[in-house]
Amino acid sequence: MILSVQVRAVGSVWRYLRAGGITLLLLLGFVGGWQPIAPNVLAKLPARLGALAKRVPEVATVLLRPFAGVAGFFRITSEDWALFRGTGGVRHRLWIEARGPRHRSFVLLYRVHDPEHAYRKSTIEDRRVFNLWNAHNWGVSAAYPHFARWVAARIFEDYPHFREVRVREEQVTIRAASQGFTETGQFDYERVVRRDELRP
Amino acid sequence: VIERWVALWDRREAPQSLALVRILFVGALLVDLLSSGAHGAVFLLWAPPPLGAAFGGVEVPSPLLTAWFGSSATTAVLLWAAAVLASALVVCGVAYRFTSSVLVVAMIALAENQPVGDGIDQLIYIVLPLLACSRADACWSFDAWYRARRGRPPETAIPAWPRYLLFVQLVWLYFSVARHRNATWGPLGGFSAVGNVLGDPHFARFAPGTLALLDPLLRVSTVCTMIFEVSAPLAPLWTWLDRRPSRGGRLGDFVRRARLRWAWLALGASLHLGIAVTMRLGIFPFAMLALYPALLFPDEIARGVARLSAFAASVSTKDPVSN
Repeated sequence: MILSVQVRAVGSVWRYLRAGGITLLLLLGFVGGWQPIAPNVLAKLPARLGALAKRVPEVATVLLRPFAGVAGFFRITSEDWALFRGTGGVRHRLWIEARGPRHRSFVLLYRVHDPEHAYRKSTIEDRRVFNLWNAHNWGVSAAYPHFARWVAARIFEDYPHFREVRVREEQVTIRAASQGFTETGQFDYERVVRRDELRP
Repeated sequence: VIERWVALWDRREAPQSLALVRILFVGALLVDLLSSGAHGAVFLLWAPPPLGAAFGGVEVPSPLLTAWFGSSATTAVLLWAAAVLASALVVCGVAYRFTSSVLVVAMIALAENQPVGDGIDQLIYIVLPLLACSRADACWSFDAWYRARRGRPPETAIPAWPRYLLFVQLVWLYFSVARHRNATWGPLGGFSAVGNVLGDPHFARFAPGTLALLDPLLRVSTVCTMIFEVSAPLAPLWTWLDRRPSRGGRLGDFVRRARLRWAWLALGASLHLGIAVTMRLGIFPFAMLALYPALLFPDEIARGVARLSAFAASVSTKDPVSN
């Protein structure tokens, strides 16, 4: 009888604790999803509201700080989902080239959407590998140089006559009316890896 | 109010919805991990330089498991293999409490080795702990089969709160995505966003420009995407009204007559299927669709499964000669 009452009491406390924990989780998720307000929107707001809105990221950081350790452990960085925020304009197209000691020009080995140059295509286009080299508006990932060195190492293994590998991304302009893209001949994120750099 | 709030998170329901999420979502993750292995990307992704690009190329402290076992290609393969094995066991519902926890830890360890990821990785880190806290193994699992074999009664009601949180997560995700969209997703940009993505060589499945003839359709799909995402916060209301025929007055009648809840779900499913067909985004569309059972009630899932079973049975019993 006493045990049954105790179990019921613990169960009741647990219900409240769980509901409280879930409420906290929802509130933290909501705060973690606060989006910094864009400067053009800020400019249109009344001065006092604008000043308040400017402090949103700072306030969110302060509120989330006590829980940052737990969120960091679970690798949960944000509830702000910016997927395909902007489209069109200038985008990029990955090129991988190599050249030997007597060649002046690089030989194209891989280029996105180029069936004639598809060196290690399945690895390079793997979903997780794609994230290493795909260029965003803010740039490429911090792993990009390591990706370039990895590709260079594989090329030097597969083609003993090559001495240099170049990994870079061509700027392409997206055309209107779903017409595809136009090549610009301009390149970003160029990394050149020489064979002697990779020797242990 | 507090008592009603507590009672909401105290609700129990049949396990079919969460069980299906477990099978489909972790199944998608398993395929993702196996495809990285099949593509020869395990060393590149999770081994340290110079063999791979692990640690994301950023200066971070050595991950815990790597610090214990050493930073090497062997550690990378072991971590990947542990994640694959745990995923397979979770899909089958074997020793679920333990294997789902191992999967959470394995995915965290992989992420510590390779912090570079995309939206679906972020969702995986949120969904897996939620699933691990749930009783998603209460049906369609080895554990449930074993329990029945030992003569124990099946678990007919499990806590519903993990499904509710998955529901909230999906709704918030869609709405958050919509808030970020730039002009190309709206009338000022001529609703050109989907056509633009299909012109981007990094994302287009078919050669960019191939689908130019379908440009008007692609603009319509941009409009549909925005309607779907912006209306996401209304999904809980539509779901509530759909399940309570006597509530909501004229609005409720309209929602039920127009089948708004089902129209919204169908729009979302078609959006993800369209992405799967036309874009190269890995498991993203499949993992998103794998969470859709969380938007459905267990009795709806059970009815759907029963219909499928009946259809399969009718097909298998037909005389092949007479067909």
